[in-house]
Amino acid sequence: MKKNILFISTLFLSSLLAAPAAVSEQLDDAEVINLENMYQQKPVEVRSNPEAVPMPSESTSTTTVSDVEVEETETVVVQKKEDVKVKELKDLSRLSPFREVSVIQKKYLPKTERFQFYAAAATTTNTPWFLNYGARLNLAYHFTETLGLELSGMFLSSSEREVAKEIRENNGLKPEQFIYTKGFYGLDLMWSPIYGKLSHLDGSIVPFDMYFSLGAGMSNTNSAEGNVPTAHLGTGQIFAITKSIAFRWDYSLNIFQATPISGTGTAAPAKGAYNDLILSAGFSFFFPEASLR
Amino acid sequence: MNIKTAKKIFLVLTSLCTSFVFAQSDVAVPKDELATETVYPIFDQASSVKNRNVQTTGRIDVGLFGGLALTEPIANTTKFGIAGNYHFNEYHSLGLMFISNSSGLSKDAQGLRDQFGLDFTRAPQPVNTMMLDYNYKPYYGKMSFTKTGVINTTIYGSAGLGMIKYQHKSYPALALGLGERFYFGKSLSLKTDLRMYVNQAPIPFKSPGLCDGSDQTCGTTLPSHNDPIPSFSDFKERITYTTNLEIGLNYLF
Repeated sequence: MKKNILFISTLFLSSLLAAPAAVSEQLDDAEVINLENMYQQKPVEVRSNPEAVPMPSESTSTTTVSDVEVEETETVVVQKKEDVKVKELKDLSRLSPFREVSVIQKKYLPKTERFQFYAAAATTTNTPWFLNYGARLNLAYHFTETLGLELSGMFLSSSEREVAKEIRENNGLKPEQFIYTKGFYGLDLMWSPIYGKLSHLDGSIVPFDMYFSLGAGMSNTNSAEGNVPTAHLGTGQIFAITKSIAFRWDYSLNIFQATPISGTGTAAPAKGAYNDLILSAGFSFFFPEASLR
Repeated sequence: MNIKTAKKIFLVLTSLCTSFVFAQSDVAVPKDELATETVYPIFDQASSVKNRNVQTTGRIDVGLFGGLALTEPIANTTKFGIAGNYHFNEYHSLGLMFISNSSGLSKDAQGLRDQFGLDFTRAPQPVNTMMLDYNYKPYYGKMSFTKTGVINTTIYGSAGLGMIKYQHKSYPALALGLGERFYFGKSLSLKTDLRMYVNQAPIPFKSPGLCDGSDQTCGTTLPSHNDPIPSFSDFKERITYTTNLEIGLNYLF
C-alpha cells in the first residue's frame, strides 16, 4: 500500500513540475523578474556611427559590448543612449549592464516634454479701492521636470469697493486716480524644484509640485501710460488629480511703474512704483498623455 | 486481474488526468489581454502616513509673525503678532493670537494728504486684535527640495473669532483663511496665512472733518479747507472686509 502511495505521489509531483515550465514561456512579466539574466544571455548589438561619435580605430559595422575594450566602452555607451530608445519594458535589456542606470520613478504626474494649459479664476488681493476679478489662461511647455517656459494672459474686471464710493461722495475725489490693473500678458521661466506628497486625513495621497516663476510682460492699467512694462514673480502649487489634470493655485507679484491720471488736486500726480498681488486658482491640463508610467 | 492491480491502474490514470488538466491551464492568453500597468492595492483601512515625522498631538506651538492688511485703504497696513496653539490631535488645534497694528497711515492715505490735504489721522485707527484661532489640518505631507532634503508640510483652514480694538472702541471680528506650514525639522516651522477679516469698523471718509488746511481746494463744499477736528464717535460705521497676508515662525514645544 505504501509503495502505491509513493508511486502515485511521484507521478503527481512530476505533473506539477511540468506546468510552470510552460508558463514561463508565456508570460511577459517573467522578463521583469529575469532582467539580469537577459543581460547575460543576449549580447547587446550596437551599431557604430563614426560621424556622431569618433571611434578610436576600427569602424566595424556591428559589435557587442563585450567585444569592446574598456576605453571604448564609455564611447559606445554614450552613442547607445542616442540609438536605443526604450519604449517597452523589454527594451531595458538593450541597455549596457552597470553603465546606464535606468531609474523608473513612479512620478504620478510627469511634466517632462509636456504642455500645461492652466485655466483659472483670478483676483487681485491688494487693491483697497477696487474689486478685480477675472480669468487667467496660461500655456507652458516643460523641458524637464524642473524647468519650463510659460506664456500667461490675464483679464480682470474692476468695480468700485465701498471705500471708493465713499471717498467720491464724501470727499469729492476720483477713485480712478488710484492705479489698478485690467490685464496682463507675459512670459515666465518656471522652476519646479519641489516635489512632494500630501496625505488627506491619513488616507488618499495627493502628489504635488511647487514652483517659482520669474518673467516679464505688459500690464494694461488705468494709468496715463496705459500699457506698462512689468516684472513678474510668482509661486504656486500643482496638485495632481489624474495623470493629466491637476488643481493649481498661483500667487503672483507684478511690479511696474505708472503715472496716475490727473485729478482735482493742486499737485500733479507723479510717476511711482506699483505692485499687484494676484491670486489665481484653477485647473491645469497636461498633454500629450504621459507614457511609460 | 485482481482488485489490487485494478486499483493501481485506476490511481495511475487519475494522476495522469490531473497532470493533463494542469498542462491545459497553460493556455496562451492574448498579450493585449494581459495587464500592462501596475496598480496599488486598495485596503479597507488605509493609513498613508506610517511614521509621522512631525507629531503635534498634545503639543503647544508658539509663533511670531508679521502681516500685511492688503486691502486696507487708510490705516498703516503692517502688523505684528504672537500666537500660541494647542494641538488636540493631528487634525485640530485651538489657539490664541494677538496682533498689534503699526501706527500711521497707508501709502495711499499719505498720498491723499500730500495731494488733496485730507488728514486721515483724524479718523480712528485700528490698534490691536485679539482672537481665538481654530485650525483644521486635513493635509499633511512631505516634499523634496531639488532631491537634497525633505521638508514636512501641512495645509490647513483657519477660523478666528475675537475683537478688534480701535482707538475709541472695540468691535467683534471674524477671520477665515487658508494657511500652510513648512517644517524645518520636527519643531520649527515657517507659517503662511491668507485671511479675510470681517468686522464692524468706522468709515474714515467723513466730510467735513478731514481737510487740514494745506490744500485750498479740499472739501466738497467751499470754504472747507481747514475743518475742525471731529471726535472719533462722529464717524459712521459699517462692515468691512480686509485681506491679510501673514508670515511667521513657529516652534512646537
